[in-house]
Amino acid sequence: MSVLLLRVLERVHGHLGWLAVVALLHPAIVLRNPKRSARLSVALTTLVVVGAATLGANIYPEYRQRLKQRIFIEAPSYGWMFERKEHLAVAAVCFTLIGCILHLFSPVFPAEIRERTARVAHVAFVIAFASALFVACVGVAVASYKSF
Amino acid sequence: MTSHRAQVAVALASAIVVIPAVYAGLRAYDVLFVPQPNPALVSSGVKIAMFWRLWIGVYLAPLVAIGVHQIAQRNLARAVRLLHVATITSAAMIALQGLFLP
Repeated sequence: MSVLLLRVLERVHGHLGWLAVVALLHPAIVLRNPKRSARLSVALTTLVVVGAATLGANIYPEYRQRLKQRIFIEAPSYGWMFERKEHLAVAAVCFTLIGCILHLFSPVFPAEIRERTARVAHVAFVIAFASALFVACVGVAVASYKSF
Repeated sequence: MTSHRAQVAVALASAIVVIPAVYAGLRAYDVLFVPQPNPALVSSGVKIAMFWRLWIGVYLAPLVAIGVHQIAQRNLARAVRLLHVATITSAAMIALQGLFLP
């Protein structure tokens, strides 16, 4: 992969990541009310989160080859911050998917269980939002220190 | 039919809940019990540990989905309660591992 393409993909990934954080804020707030439906918002949010994560996973091997060791030599604290970002990015994607599945399927649940299911979906989106916010902040910090 | 789709949804969500928990467990085990090379001294190898941890979680997820589907068939409310607890536990696991055992 050329350096120019990596730079473009890295920036698209960063912008998409922040877009995902903003998108996650909507279900994290709106779904506090268990009777509220936000199917389009949830579906689009999940799409953005998965898109940002897929792009990040695609450039991750190049990060390891070209940047990781240099960052750890020059500024180990940034290197470890990036490691934390990877782990919490996994959490952000997984909990977004959980929230999405439970919210989109909520009409098929019996009425007496629906409220509890909605609460689990809300919790999942709040966790995903908190993780994604951390990931995006660390991503900006590390990328502003060293990028492709 | 509606009930069956609800059971599948709970099983699917439970399967995904397992992935961060397995990921956090594997990474915590690595940090605590396996000597780690200094990333400043050793260049990265071919094996990407993060993807391996993720795929092990994905591999185990269907097993959990089958188990939770069995529970949901008998008692859907109980399966949702379990999912609620598992969601919070899994989040706590990956948050603690991510922040303190990177």
